Amino acid sequence: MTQMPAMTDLRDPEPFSDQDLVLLFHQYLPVQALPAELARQITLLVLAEVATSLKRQASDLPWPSSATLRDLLRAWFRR
Amino acid sequence: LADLHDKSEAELLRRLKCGDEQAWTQLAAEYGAKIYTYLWHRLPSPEDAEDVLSETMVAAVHSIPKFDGNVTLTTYLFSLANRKIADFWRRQRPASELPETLVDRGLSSDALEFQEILKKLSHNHLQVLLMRYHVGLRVDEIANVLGLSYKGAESLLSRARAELRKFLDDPDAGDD
Repeated sequence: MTQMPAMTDLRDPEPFSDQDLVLLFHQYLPVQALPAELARQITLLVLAEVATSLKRQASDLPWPSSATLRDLLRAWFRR
Repeated sequence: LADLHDKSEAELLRRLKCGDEQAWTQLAAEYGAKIYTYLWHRLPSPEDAEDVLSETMVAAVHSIPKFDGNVTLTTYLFSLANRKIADFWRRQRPASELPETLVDRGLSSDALEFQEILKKLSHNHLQVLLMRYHVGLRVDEIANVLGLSYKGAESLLSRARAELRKFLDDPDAGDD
């Protein structure tokens, strides 16, 4: 496992590598986990928005033309 | 690996556009978590991060069907998050500025020292360092989020690293 340098070690004159910086940020700015309850709420919010959006799209669909309706009716009567 | 990641994102995007419930659940869980940790360090309080995360995800639901996939999904979502962060700061009183509103959230003394140093960085340097080293975005993704060329993003990162180095060498640099 990689040993995290102390803050004082980071002040040596060598330039940082990308790896140093990743370690630095992750050590001193811990990745903040999404709380479980918030994750659940966000998921529900997203799914509710998707459902609303799909409903809206469905109601915006154009009505079939009269020719299409006529063809559909003919096909139905022929069954 | 980057190619594999991009391919799985493209597949996820295709499913999102079809209104696939599982895909949206995956987006909320995986990308929501990534965006939340970024917001947590860019906004004054965890509550603000929650609000801006909700706004970002709702914006994603409405805009992803029109998204043409010209950038990665990660890039696209972080662009949305950045726009929502900008909206947040526009709604704040003029006196509220990012470096003064980061608060102590029970961090260790080294972490507090590091956070103090981050407060001194310019806003765009802090932003680019967080995206690269905390969230783990690639340079090309950062370039797309910020509307820069690849070289422009590299150059911004280089200046941000130099500024961070300056404050790590001398935490009092820039204090009057």
